[in-house]
Amino acid sequence: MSGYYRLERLGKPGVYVCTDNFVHDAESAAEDVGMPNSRIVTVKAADYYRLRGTDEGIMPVAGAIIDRLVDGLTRPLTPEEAGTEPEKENLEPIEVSAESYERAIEKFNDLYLDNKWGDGLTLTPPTKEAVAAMLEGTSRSPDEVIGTVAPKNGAATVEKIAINAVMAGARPEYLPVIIAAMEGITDPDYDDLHVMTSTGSFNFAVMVTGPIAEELNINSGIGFLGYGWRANSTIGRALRLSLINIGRVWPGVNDMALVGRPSQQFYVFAENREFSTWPPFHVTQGFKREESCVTVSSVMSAPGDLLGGGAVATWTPQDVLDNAVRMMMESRWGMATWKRGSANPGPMKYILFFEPVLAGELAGQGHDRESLQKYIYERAVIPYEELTPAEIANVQPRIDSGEIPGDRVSVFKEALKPGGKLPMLDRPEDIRIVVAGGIPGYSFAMYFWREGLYAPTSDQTKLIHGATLTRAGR
Amino acid sequence: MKKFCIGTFIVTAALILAVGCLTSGDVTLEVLNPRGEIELPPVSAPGARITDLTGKKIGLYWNEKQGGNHFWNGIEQLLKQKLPETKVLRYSGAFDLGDELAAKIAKETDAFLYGVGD
Repeated sequence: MSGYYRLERLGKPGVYVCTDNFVHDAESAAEDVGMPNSRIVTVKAADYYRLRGTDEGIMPVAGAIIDRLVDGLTRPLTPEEAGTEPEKENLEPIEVSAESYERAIEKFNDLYLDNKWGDGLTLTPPTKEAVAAMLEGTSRSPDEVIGTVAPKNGAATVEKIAINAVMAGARPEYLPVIIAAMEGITDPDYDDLHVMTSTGSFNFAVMVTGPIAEELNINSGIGFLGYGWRANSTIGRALRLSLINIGRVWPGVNDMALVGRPSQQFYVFAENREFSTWPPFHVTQGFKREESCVTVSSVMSAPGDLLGGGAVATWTPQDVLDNAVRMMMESRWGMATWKRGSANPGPMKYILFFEPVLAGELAGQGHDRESLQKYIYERAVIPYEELTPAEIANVQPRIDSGEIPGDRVSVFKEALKPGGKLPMLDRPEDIRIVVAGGIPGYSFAMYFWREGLYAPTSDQTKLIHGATLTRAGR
Repeated sequence: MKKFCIGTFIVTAALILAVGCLTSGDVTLEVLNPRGEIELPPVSAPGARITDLTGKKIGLYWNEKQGGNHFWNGIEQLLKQKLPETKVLRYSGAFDLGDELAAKIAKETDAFLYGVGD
């Protein structure tokens, strides 16, 4: 809806058109930008999605609103439509009283959950004492603003994150990890708005790397994306609650994920260092081996595409690599229409989860991350002679706009000559290889767009620091 | 042994007192607010309307979500029928229009209709 406001602010009268199921989203966005009385006209969602496939089919839907559109452009504004400044919200502590402790807990949960300040599960009361104990996990100031959270740009202070961490049932020693993940999510270069509000059921993958993962007992073995580990579950829940409460996001209001965001506690896991001979992942992002980091990514699904492994079928390392190439080649379906900032913005980045046995086999063959990235990248290509005119035509705008990184432009120019090969990915480093899971394990992929829709990136790696209760992350 | 008994008595008395407080009186939890502070921009009104669209240029913006083109084709057709003296200009692009395209549309049109395909 941001484009609508840009035009209104430029003095152009407009009408915003959406389906009736998105009107709450539109009204919420209107409040966010300070134009609460925007002119919005809705069409029936049940008709729009069913009939939009053809000019003829959709015509009755257009016909049903044409008079309202003209009215919206021409009817003079009323004084009320100028809007009034909203009242300052009261964020003071709240007292909950009852005749017993159990009843007080129940009343607290009723209050917070009815206010949509929770995730639907019962919460731990964030009393001053509990929050103070949580804050003992970090040396960072409670008032430090980590960033602002979409969609309403609420200020994520260390204290607010700690309050939500208490509610989630996290331990104080998890707090530095939660704060670092929030730094990633709120980084201005990270597109948190899309992953939190899109109709697509994207979600956050949160990978913890470095020695703090073992200290906190973050599961990286069998069941690493599942239930049962307090660190995995409550770090993810603390992040979810922080987004709900600090960003003010809610399903069906301004989070329009059509089937929700499966794994409501995110996908929190650790890299399995026990079985990896390669450097920790964060070293590939410029951090030191001994440091601990969090990487957040806006993944489309989990576990995504299976590449091999498991306890049922047999496999070889070559099968897995071939499957990885095949999976990347399948993203060709949208290649001709890749367009920055659109619903199909461009090529992907991949996280390849290699289970321990595969990683060991590949390492035994002399592979490291870089050689595997190169191997897969050079095979996920389309020969020039097989490219469609539309695919060829879409490369040059990507070069001209700077979307293809400068150091890769020559590769793409060469690809557009007879005998050339056009890569499916912009660069080999867009294939991120991590060792995770137990024995046996599955090798699989999660993926996400290389660029966000509303910000330049869909992933960030941040250093964990300020920890006071662990040896790592200090 | 005596020390143990006194200790036991104190603990028991404390428990009775605590339970008494919990059951007979008020239990008050002071809980902190988990909501982040939001700095809302100043409220502004939409742009002034145009009472007569005759001879005006209306821009239609679509974010290229599939099927939206058909919908806006219908809107264009109906506008031309309803307001034959009005010119319709079509635009499409990213989810976020961006400053450059916004400036172009603002320069080329008098009013606009904006849809994101949902």
